[in-house]
Amino acid sequence: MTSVPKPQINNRIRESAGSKIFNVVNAFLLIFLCVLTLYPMWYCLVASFTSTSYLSAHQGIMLIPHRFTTSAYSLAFTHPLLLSGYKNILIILLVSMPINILLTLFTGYFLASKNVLLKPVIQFVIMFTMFFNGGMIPIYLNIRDLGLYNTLWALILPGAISVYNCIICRTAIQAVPDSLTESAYLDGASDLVIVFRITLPLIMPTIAVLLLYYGVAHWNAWFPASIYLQDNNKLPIQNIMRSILIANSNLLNASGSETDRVDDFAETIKYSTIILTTVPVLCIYPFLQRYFVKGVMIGAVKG
Amino acid sequence: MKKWLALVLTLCLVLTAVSAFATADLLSREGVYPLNSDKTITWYSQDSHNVHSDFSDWHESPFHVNLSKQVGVNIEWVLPTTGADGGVFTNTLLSDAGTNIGALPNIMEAYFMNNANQYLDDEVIWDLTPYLEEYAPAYWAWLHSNPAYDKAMKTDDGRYYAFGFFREDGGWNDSYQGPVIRKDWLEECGLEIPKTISEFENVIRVFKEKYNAVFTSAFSPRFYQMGLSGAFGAYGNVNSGYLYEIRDGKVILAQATDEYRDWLRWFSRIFKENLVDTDLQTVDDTNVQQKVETGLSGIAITSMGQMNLWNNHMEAAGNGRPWIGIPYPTNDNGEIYSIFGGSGIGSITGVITKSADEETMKLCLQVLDYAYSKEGFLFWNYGIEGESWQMSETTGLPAWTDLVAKDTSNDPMTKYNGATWSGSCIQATNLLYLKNSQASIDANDAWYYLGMGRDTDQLDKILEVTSGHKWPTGVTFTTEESDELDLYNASLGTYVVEQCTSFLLGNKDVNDDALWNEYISGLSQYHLDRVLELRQNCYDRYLAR
Amino acid sequence: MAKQTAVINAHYRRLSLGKKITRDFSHNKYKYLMILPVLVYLALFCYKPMYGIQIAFRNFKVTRGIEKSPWVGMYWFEQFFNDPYFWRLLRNTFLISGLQIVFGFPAPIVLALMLNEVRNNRFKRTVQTITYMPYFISLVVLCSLVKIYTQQNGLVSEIVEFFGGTRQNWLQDPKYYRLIYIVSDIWQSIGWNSIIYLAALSAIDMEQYEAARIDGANRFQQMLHVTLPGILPTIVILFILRMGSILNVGYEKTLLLYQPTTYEVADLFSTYTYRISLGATAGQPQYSLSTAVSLFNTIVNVVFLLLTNFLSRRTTDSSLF
Repeated sequence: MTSVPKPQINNRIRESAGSKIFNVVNAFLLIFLCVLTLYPMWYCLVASFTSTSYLSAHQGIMLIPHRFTTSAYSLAFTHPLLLSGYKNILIILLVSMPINILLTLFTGYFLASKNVLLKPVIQFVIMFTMFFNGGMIPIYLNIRDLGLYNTLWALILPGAISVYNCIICRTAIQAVPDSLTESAYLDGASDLVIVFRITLPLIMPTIAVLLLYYGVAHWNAWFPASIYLQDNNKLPIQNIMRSILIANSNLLNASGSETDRVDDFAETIKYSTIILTTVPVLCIYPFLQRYFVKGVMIGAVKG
Repeated sequence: MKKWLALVLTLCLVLTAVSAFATADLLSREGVYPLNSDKTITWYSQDSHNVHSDFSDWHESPFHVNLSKQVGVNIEWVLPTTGADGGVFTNTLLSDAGTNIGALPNIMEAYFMNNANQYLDDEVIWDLTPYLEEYAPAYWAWLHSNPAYDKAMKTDDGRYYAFGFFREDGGWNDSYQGPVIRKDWLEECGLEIPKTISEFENVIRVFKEKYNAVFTSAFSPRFYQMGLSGAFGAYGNVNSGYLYEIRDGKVILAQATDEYRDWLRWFSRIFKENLVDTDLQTVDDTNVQQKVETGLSGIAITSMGQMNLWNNHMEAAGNGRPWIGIPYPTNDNGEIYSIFGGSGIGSITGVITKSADEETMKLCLQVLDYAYSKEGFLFWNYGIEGESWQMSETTGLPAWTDLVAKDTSNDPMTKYNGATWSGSCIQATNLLYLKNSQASIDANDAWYYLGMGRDTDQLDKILEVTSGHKWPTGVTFTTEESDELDLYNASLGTYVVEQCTSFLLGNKDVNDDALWNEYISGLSQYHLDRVLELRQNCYDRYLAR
Repeated sequence: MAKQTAVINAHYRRLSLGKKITRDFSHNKYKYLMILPVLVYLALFCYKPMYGIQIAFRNFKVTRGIEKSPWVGMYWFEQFFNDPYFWRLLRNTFLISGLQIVFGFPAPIVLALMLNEVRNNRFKRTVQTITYMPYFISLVVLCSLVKIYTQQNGLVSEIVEFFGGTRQNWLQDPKYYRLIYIVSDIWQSIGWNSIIYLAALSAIDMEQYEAARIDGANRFQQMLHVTLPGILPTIVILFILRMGSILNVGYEKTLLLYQPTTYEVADLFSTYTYRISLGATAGQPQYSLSTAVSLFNTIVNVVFLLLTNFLSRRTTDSSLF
């Protein structure tokens, strides 16, 4: 991929007044949106470092931590399952993402291909699963039958393909000019070569998005782990965080518990768990973001 | 009070920690345990024996490991994982019953009572009737110490199927929530503790005037079950778990009586006058706690545990421990119909599934029986003597050692005992005393004894008010009945809760006869008549047991 | 090149069926090889448990298993259609979903277009990173933040009072429930959902802008005639997929936000299904009824998907199939 010279640089000189106003208004709106988004997020961060007693007395606007404390984090960090939780999600991500991307790429490539006799049938077979499923109990029994119960595979395999993502991948592949693949065919390249050598580099922005989609789906999932696993030390981090959050909310009490179970977790725990589950993903995002930089196509088409 | 103390002291001589409420002596099974079996049994527990959050799983948890040693049988625990919803976990586990019963845990503790007949008929769980007396003598003796226990633990045709949860105190701790008040404000205003609903309302008004404070409560877990409807001769509030009331042997819909309408009239009136927290519906315990700490309320409904937290936080902020529990207000003639409470029998029970063959089942019976023996009772409530507890020389009752007393984590005793929440066991009253602060215990007394104090002799009245109108624990539906009831349950409950909340908060005028009649006649759409008929049959069969 | 393809196609059509198949397999063997693991996967994890759909037509009890549960035909569907709440659930689900489509669907597209016009790359990246952060807030926390902000003394009341309104609890007022639901939804997902459009934008050929500029198009015209058509296939596909899930509004957020006084506007198919199955506190979970409801849900979804797909194929070039 060659980087693109920025054509707009020399245009800037002849930017019209309308264009300038547009820029200003646009930037202003975006900043406004950022403030709207950032304030509650900032509030979470600030609240996570504020002492509980201060937080309960001041519900209004808060810009910096008051009575700075890290106690909300120390509880999370002393949780005996925190490390194994991070370890397990890492294993899940490392094993499942290559599988996800490979299968999605293949499916997208197949669905985007033309002149394949069985394509309509196979397309139907794939799309059908998007809408119809066996329901929770049969799916659970299936996982047991396959011997995946209480293994991390139960979290990796059932989500190996998302049809939705396959369709996104197909749409991206369809946008690749036919001329590129056809000339490769004429050069004697097989589909396997084309998909990796030509298609894949061209749809890198989409692949980056798909990586993010799959990764975040695994990262956020807690329900499968809560029914398919039996050992606490196999749980991914999201379930650990949820246990802290739920103990802190009324979800458990609301289900009609017969006893006066009271957890004196600080309100600030809520906020520290958000930070702990969000920050790792935020660190990865910039690496993927560079694929969204304009003009990936041009270089390839010209080259 | 003195009389009570004396009673406790005499009973202490009998060594068991039986207090004023005790109904029976427990059978000693000295020398029987440990059983020294090399077998392994599996034991599932939905919510009763969660591993303390300091441990990663049950292998590290003293209670779970020690129980194995005490009974002399290897126990493999199956517990919902951290962060999982216990009910969902149970339901998915049970789906093996239809196809692969061997995969079920041998012992399962969950909510089986309503559908016990079906589980028995479909051969998912063991009918324990022929075995109980021989293999679980302590439990057998316990059941026969009180007809109410025996009645709750079998089906209409007399089949025993479960090991229940019993409170040694009877229903005392089932009334663990009720009205609370700020004592310091009460004194500042020169007011007495309110006894009647009018006095109660007056306190709310005075607090509003003087401190701009309102009446509040966490809506979902605290207020919506009972509220203060008992003062109006009604039962229940706006929770779908409190729909059916027993009145003179008849099963009726609690939210359709004239008395209940009076309660709605009163509450909607004070709500309209801004005497109640307007956020009532959306607040949970945490929000209420914040409001309370910042002086936004001086009178509320909450639980003994929550009240203790409020006091702790206020004390930490240098405001003392002002919150105390007060009796539920009565009507102006001093009468009260119902309060939040129960019979002291839990609805989580332990059953033995057919994954156990007959030999294993007999072993499970012996393992379960341990909790109801004199020795097992102590272990289940306090852990191992000398480790987590020892006899106190001053009270003559078990007391924590430093291992528990100096542990600052949440409810540290749950690391060593199994009876703190529920389970197949008997919960010692003394355990609750050790667990809670004095103010909370006093609050529980105020609620349960209806303000008459512990030495009252009106126990019948207390029983009537706390649990006499409640749908009894242990009623079993037939498979056909539960099929039909399950179908109507969801929508009927939603309808009643939704309509009554609208009346309660004044979105609909409860004084408008047309609106009220519309609500009442709307009930038939939701098959109320059929539901009441089915429930009445069921209740009659239960009485006839 | 296109001409060549046409010739091949014409030739291909003239072949007999048997020859077509052998030709197809020899031509496309690698394509079939690629899709094989996918098909195996689908068979094992999706089609194998699909026998469970019959639960909707049986009186299923977990204790009996599917085969031993008696066949009851359309009983559960009848029960559901006769439920007094059926129409309300249908109305609420369509309304919430409709509002999400009307306001929630275009929002990330607008954001992506706005970002696309930003010349400063660092600013662009910062905005992107910030707006996509809320996606990671767990619903439990999001909803408790919403509850705190909408209380009588909360942030919303402060702002409303500043502009001369009166304080109240906004969340328990049925008039504002949907607004709060939709706004918090957009707040949480606008940045995240714009990612896919940004990826699509980056694939637009720069030369097209150059050409438009030479033709004298201003910024807005460029957006209208180059940018939008460039990402239109993506928009259309996502729109069709969104229409295909018109009745799928998750239960978790509603469960955390609704109150008895807002049931009237908040109660959805999914919350109903949750109440009778997983969340059943009294009695056994009603798997049969809930499966029937989901099946009904699915069928409505598929109808909407096919309809949108048909319309889109008519009006634009892009379609799902």
